[in-house]
Amino acid sequence: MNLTDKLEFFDCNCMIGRTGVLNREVIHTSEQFLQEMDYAGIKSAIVWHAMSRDCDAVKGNEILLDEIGVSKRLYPMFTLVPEHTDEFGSIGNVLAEMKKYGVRAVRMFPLKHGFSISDWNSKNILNALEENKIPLFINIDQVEWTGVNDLLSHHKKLNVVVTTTRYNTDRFVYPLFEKYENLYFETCWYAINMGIENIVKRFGPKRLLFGTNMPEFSPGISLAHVIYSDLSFEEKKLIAGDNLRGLLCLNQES
Amino acid sequence: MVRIMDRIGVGKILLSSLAGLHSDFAWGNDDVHKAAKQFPDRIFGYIFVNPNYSHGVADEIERSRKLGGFKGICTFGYGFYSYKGKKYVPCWELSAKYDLPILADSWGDNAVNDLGEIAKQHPNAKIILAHSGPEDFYKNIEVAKNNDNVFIEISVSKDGFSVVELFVKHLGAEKVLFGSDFSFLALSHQLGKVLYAKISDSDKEKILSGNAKRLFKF
Repeated sequence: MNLTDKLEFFDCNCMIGRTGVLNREVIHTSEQFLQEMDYAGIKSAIVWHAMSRDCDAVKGNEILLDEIGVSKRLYPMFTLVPEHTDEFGSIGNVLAEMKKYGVRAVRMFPLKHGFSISDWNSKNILNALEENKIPLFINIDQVEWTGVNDLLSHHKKLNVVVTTTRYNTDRFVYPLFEKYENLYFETCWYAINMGIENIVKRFGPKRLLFGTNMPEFSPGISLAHVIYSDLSFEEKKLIAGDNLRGLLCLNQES
Repeated sequence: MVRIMDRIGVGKILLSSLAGLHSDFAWGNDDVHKAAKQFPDRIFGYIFVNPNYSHGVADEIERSRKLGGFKGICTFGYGFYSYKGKKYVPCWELSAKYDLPILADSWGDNAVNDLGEIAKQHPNAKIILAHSGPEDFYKNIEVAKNNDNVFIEISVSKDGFSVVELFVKHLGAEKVLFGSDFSFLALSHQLGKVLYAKISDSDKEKILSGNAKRLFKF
């Protein structure tokens, strides 16, 4: 078994489905994704659907479930919006739906979908996620770090994973890591030299999650970043996939 | 840097100075010279030029050459001074005269097209389009395809899906050079885009080392 297989990579940040705006054609079906994962040596991935971001969250989530079927390697992530405009019916309804289909994580797009992640707007849905131990994934381009601080300060038991953060974020992230144990950080664009190593040294290896941002990025940069990092095997394995398994309450066979 | 290069398995690096880019080109080049002197078989320099200063191009190239340790020239669009401006002309001429390939930042308004025109006007200057892909890669491909003396360098923090494969498909691996922006970006991060690219091992070897050895005469 080679190192990649031993690390059991579990991708926390990838999207399936076509998008309207793109500069060249990239993979978009679950079959294509699984082939790419096979090539790269990624064991599992949690995926959301492009339509849930770009057009209709409800429809996009439905299509996601159809698309990934009963795959043992692709896990569904729903996109949600606050309950005010009644797309999902009640919050109870959507949670029941998620439980029925084994959806263990949620993504939100406040900027794209026109709402605020602050409590005055999203308190009920955030409380529900927190109470049900469902982690929230959110791209940094959807919420500024001030918004992340605000979110974490009001929901100290909600696990929040900030994705696709750029390399120039340490001065934002370090004080947040100090304050909040429920903040996690995905690594695909966090390309700064010794960035991963410095975070592990200061805050431990459990705050970082491997993610590829496929299909916008190729998986190789994120894989090599973990594999070649100056960390122990155990630290790499946590970042590669075990941290995500822990957040999703999955066993080690996933 | 050399410790990280050793750990990851990178033999040689061509280096320019961040200070040279953002602050003081001469201070930056002096700093690079010191690094090259300390590690003469591992670190080699690019001479940073700045046309906003009267001594910032020809004089700086001559000065840095005398210091030693440099194998190329590094240029930046500087936003407010076009590559096509007169003050840049000595850069292309001396590049050809001394066979110093130019690593030219290729972002910004019209930079790629301008560099394409310059490549035609100065066929003996070798121009490497730095940070190629993932945004305007078709433009980069077109310019590199139409000019024998134009090459692609691939360091970008924001990767693009299958960009390396596309460059190889359209240009051939001989035109593509590995770059990392190390020690700003992580070597490990940037290496991955070549190591995992769906291209042959011999193409990977060309991109990771063979092309640079040929261009810079190692």
